[in-house]
Amino acid sequence: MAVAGLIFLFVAHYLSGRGLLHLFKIELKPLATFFLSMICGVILASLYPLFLELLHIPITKTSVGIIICLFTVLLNITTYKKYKFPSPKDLKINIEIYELPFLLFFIFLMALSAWRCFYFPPFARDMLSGPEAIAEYAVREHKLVNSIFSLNLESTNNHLKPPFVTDLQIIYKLFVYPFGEIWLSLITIPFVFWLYTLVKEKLHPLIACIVMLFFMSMPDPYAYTYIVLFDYCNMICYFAGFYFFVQYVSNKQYNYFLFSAFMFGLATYIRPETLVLVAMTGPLVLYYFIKDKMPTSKMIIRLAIFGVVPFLFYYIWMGIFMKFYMPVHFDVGSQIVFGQNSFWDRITAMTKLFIFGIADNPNQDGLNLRLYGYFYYVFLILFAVDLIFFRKKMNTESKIMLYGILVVYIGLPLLGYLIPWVDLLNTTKRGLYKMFPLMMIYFRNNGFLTLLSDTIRKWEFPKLPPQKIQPVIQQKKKGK
Amino acid sequence: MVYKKILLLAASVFVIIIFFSVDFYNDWLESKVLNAFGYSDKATEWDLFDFQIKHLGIEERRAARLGSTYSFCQTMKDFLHDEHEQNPLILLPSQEYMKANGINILIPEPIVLYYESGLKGAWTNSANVSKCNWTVVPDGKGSVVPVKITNKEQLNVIIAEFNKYKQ
Repeated sequence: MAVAGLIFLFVAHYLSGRGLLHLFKIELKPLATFFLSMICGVILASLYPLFLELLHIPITKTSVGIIICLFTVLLNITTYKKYKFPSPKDLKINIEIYELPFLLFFIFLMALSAWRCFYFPPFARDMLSGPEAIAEYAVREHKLVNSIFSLNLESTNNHLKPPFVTDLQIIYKLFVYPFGEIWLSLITIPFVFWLYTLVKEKLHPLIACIVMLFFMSMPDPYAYTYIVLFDYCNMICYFAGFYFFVQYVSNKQYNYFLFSAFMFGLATYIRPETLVLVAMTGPLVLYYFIKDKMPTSKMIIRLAIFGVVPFLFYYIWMGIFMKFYMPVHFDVGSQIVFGQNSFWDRITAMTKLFIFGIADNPNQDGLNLRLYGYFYYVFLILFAVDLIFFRKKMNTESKIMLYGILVVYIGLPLLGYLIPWVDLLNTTKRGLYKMFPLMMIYFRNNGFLTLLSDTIRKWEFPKLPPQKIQPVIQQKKKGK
Repeated sequence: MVYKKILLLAASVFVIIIFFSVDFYNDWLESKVLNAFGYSDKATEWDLFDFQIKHLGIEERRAARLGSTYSFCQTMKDFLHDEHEQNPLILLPSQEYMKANGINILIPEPIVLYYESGLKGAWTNSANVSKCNWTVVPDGKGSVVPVKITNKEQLNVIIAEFNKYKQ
């Protein structure tokens, strides 16, 4: 393994991600900035070989190295002077001793995931019959449209998928080692710990650790932290879109709105059908615009931006690359067959099988547990408690997250209704991942968990009112 | 204050123990996580971290992960190389055909064959099926042997046979 290549990419991802956050003027805590910079940096890098191909420049180690450096510089050139480098005090991580057993377990899980990601080559059928094969021959033939497209491809449509995985595989095969793959850990590990810091912002660390334990112990999503496919990364971007939309709603800063649209764009780039889910998010955006009494013209422009940004990501691949570069013809319109699958049948099957584990086929009994553990049940119970006892206290963040969950719940069967190859046991099963981080953010606002957190805090710090406890802890630690 | 933190630490450990006492999570932990350290009866040697650390060769890891498909591809590649075949196009049987003949080899689809061996393949419904000049047939011992296709009649017979099973 080329360690120098890995370090080069690691630094380049971080710097380009950080540059991107500064371009959008996104201000987060130092740790969150680091995590999100890594996520954004890796995903941005997946566009570079595509750009080279669009410009008819051969994909070689040199050209890829140059474009990585170029974008890293471009993304930072106008903003680097404004960087507020955190002082060592800011970088100090506030970890309570009672978080350690959980954190050590999470670190162990992610270390094992990173090892597995490194150790074995990609093997998912969707990879070998598409992105991985294209990447392997792109490295040999220096182009994305390579001899793979001269083969008999009746058995697969995976060669038509967006180049997110292909491009990252190319970069990592060129710079790190033949299996590529390690980029996945550079996305999933920062995400997991970013999510934890977000949950911990509002809940007592012990409660945050417990809900995080449910999240980390979902067998299927955990497996996809080391099996290369599109869905985990798609989930992250979809989540980030909603998270930054919440930030926009609470602080009314336009840059957060733009960043939210950008993250939805990245989600669409990774999985084009996300565009339908983004469109379904439109009414939510419109609702908050109306609530803010925004002038109609401004409202229309912003709504257009919210739709156009993801559409552009969709169009670069589907409208430009597919149409003008690919030797095989692919018409997205022809894929849409209304009513191939019944919407109601699909939503019923999805609910029964994946949420409640009720199956017609005895082999699929309890499939919900085998895939997601008790995570859905935990959510449903906490949601029911919230509805019964804390309905009036439900805040904006909760409502937006619930809307996002609903979009996935309705959107996936709708996609199954529209597009025949959106099947239940693969596409829908993994598409449901998009709900989970939204549920985690919902948990941090959940009435029962908040009450529990406050009770523990009151017991832990009896002299202080709950809302003042967190800042005081931080001040004390800074003072030390 | 310190005693409260210690109590919370004890609570953390207690929660983790309770969590993994639940059968489902316990099974998952043993079979999917700790299997790397030999905690699962179902773990193969390739699941074991100790074994993995001693086997870091790229090819052996590839062969272990990709299984029978990879060995099929490599065998075909070596065989056709020895035969000095310049442009082989291999007619690939369906998995149903393999199953019906009691053969436990996962036959790759053409793109996977090309990825793993650089060889081109076709199915009976491929546009260029008439150009196939090699195929594989059961050897009667639970495996397959490569067979050269020398004429159209032979090809048509093989296609008809393969077509009896779902692609």
